[in-house]
Amino acid sequence: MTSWTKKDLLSLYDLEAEEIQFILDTAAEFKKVSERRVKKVPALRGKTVVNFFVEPSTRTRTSFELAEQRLSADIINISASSSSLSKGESLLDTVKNIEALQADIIVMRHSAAGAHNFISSHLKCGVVNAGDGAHSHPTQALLDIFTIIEKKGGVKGLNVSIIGDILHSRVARSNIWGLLKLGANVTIGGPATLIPKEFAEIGVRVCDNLKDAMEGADVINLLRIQHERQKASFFPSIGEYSKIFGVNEDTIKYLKKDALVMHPGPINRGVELASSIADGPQSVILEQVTNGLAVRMAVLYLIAGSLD
Amino acid sequence: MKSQKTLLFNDTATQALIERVAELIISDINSGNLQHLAFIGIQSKGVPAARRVAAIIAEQCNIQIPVALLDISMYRDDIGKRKSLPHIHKTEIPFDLDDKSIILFDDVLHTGRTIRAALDAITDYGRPKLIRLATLIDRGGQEFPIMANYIGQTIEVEHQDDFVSMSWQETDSKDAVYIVRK
Repeated sequence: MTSWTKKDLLSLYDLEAEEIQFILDTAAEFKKVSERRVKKVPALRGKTVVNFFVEPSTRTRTSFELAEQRLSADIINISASSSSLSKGESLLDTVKNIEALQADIIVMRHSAAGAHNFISSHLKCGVVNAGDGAHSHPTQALLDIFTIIEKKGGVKGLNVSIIGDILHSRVARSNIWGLLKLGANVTIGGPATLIPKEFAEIGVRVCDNLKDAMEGADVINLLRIQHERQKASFFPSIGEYSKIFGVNEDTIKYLKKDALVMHPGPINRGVELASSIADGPQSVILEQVTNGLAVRMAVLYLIAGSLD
Repeated sequence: MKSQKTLLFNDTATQALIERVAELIISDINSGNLQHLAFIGIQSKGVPAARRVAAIIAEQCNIQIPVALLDISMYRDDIGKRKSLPHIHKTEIPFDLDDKSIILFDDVLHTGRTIRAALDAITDYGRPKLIRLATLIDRGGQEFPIMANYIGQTIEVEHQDDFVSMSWQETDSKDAVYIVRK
């Protein structure tokens, strides 16, 4: 593959392995920009990027905003409460209005799975998915995979375990698609009520206990229990979840000494992950944040370059 | 439509271009004009040019000149005007640029837009004392007020749309210069 031609990034499910690799290679060069004295390049000068976050976000929005600034784009931020969605305007009308202001790229987060696929088919401008419901969060998976490759030298053949609330997690789905395409062995682990069994059909190993999910893993990626998305009771209590699925001083012994501990944040310290492990030598959690910036710069750059 | 490719310089003639550029630079080094000298090769075809010239100078003058690699993709003025974006090559500047004498290398000087982008990129990395430009071939057609200081050979092309293309032993298995008509 010699060049990038897509105007949207909706989901890793839509991408070929070589397209994922193309973004990761590009991100490696953008990472260096943030390490220079002048942490800015003129790549998106004169381009307008609208960050449209219908669902609240701090870290992803901040990361996208900084990525856009480092690319010299002009930026507008719109949240659900400040948009006309709260006055009853439809999503399509809102994004059509944003596009009519000559926006080049819309970075959107929305609670409805598939919202981006819907709007992108009606828009000429680029669309970047910053999270849609429990469906997809491609830049998070890209930064996770980037971090694994940076630390382990590659991802093919590695054993990666994603542990926690898989059912409600767009991070899990995006990671699973991306990792499988790049040849990793993926395991998911957590309470049976939060593990969709369908994943076994696409080649994912399914575990219902922490020990099996951790043993032999080169990477564990821990997910937060998403109270805000859970309308029913999937397990008796947070205390019980922590006791059975929490990674702490006692359970870390299941893990290889050179395995990585990852978490997309925000961490519920003491629930899925003990502080001593989150801040310990195997943790690459803050490096994930740093790499997120590089990955988002790469994605915005490539999309800006393929717009008509 | 198939493009037509004509050989302009074979490997021996290409080597002569490299030696000519080295000779011009050595002459400036000997006059004491290039203190704290370092080379920057523009990715991708300018990099072998910088390395080859550095090797000749190392052999003839026993001076080791550091060679940096610079990719100018992020500084182009046609992002969004092209249909797609190519692969970004590595940028590697293993020395501090402040107060250095920099010679920037590209294989062919044409519109000058690549050089404009490279100058912007370099000034984001540091503040060199001076920047000069070396090119194996100046084919004319500059769109910016940019001229090379060290030129292997100036050539005239029949049609402005003709494209002068270089191949390198290191990446394309042989040294040669072609004229490509689209």
